[in-house]
Amino acid sequence: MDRAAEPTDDAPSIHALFRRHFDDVYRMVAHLLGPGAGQADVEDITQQVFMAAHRALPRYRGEGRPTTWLYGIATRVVLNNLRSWRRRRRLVAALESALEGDVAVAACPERDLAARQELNRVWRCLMRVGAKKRVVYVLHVVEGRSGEEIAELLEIPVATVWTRLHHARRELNAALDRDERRNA
Amino acid sequence: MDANDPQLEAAERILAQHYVEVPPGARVRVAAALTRPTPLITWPYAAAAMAVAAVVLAIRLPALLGPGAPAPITAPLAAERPAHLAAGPARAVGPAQVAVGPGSRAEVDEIGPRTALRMWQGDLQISVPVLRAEQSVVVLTRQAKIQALGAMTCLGAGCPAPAFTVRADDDATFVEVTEGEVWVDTDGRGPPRRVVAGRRLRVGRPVPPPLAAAPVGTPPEANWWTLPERRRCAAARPAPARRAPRRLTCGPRATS
Repeated sequence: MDRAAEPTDDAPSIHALFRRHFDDVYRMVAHLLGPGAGQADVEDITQQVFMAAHRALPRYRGEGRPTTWLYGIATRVVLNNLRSWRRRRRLVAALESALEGDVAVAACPERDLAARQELNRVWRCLMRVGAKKRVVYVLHVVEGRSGEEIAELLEIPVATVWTRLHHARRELNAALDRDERRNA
Repeated sequence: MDANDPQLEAAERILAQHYVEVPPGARVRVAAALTRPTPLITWPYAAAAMAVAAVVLAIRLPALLGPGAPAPITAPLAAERPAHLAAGPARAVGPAQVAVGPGSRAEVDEIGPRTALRMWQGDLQISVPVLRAEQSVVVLTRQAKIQALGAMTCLGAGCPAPAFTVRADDDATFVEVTEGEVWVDTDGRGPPRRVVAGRRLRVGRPVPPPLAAAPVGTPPEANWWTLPERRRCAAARPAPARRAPRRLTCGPRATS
């Protein structure tokens, strides 16, 4: 990644995209996968995102902002990965067993443990929501993106975004209810 | 469903507080595969594919060929550089430029829903799952990577393409480095270990002894190396001697 790789015209180079947006893409991938995903998973998928961007770069004609284009690729790569049933099971299993490892490193173990427990509980419920709806939900609630932005990222109509968000909320609420009943 | 539902609102507050810290080193690890996209991505992963092929061939070939088969492969398939492809005996077939041993060929093909790297050695065909295969880039799945050698990564900008061979001796599999240096992550979890030219690093499990000779069509239980460890140990244990059937000690006895 040297200076020679700097973009010379309007079209961004993959090096410039990587340097400027690596952290954002990494965070976005981590948010979409949830706290059950390990560091290796997130790095693997982030690498896939930049490889996909590298291959797609010649076809990018500068419509829209480069960040929107890159985040769109990231969202689709994560969605493709979330379709794997085995990966989903692994993420849920990691959420179930994530508690032991955190106690030792937490600065304030009790408070952090409780917060982590709550986060894992909500994510366990969220994992019961279908992947497409979950991605829309996470992009809106965690990443704070608007409906129009999400529509652009996923290349779907805005109305579809709101429909998916509505269904995701309904399914999450039902899953939280079930979880509450089971714990009671 | 109302977004103002208190339960949902609480859940959303918890989710919104989830902050992800980018761990130190993540940027370097991901950049290593992107610094020089084609060679750096191609050769480590192609080498890992070769290693899978070598191990699978070494294990399966004697059993598949049956009794009286020629000696098992002791020098497995080696990864070569692209420049060697034209001159050497290895051939590259298909969009992915992979080099396999003399008399072998490989190509990337769609098998079922997933892409796979198919290889032939004589009549024997094996396939390794491939995540992506376009032009000269072959990326293995994480599982295949770990099965083979873990991810081999050359770290740092301007890293020269290393020359290395994956060699299976009688008792182990090694990575031998002949030029430059290779960073080997043996289990895919890091940190990688540095191997310089002239040195070798033991990786993977020992190659099982050439078993001879399970005839074609033998049930899998007869091939101990295909079994999980627990069952393999059980299979290796001698079967208990059969006891004579117990005689009844009560009730009327037959008179002879």
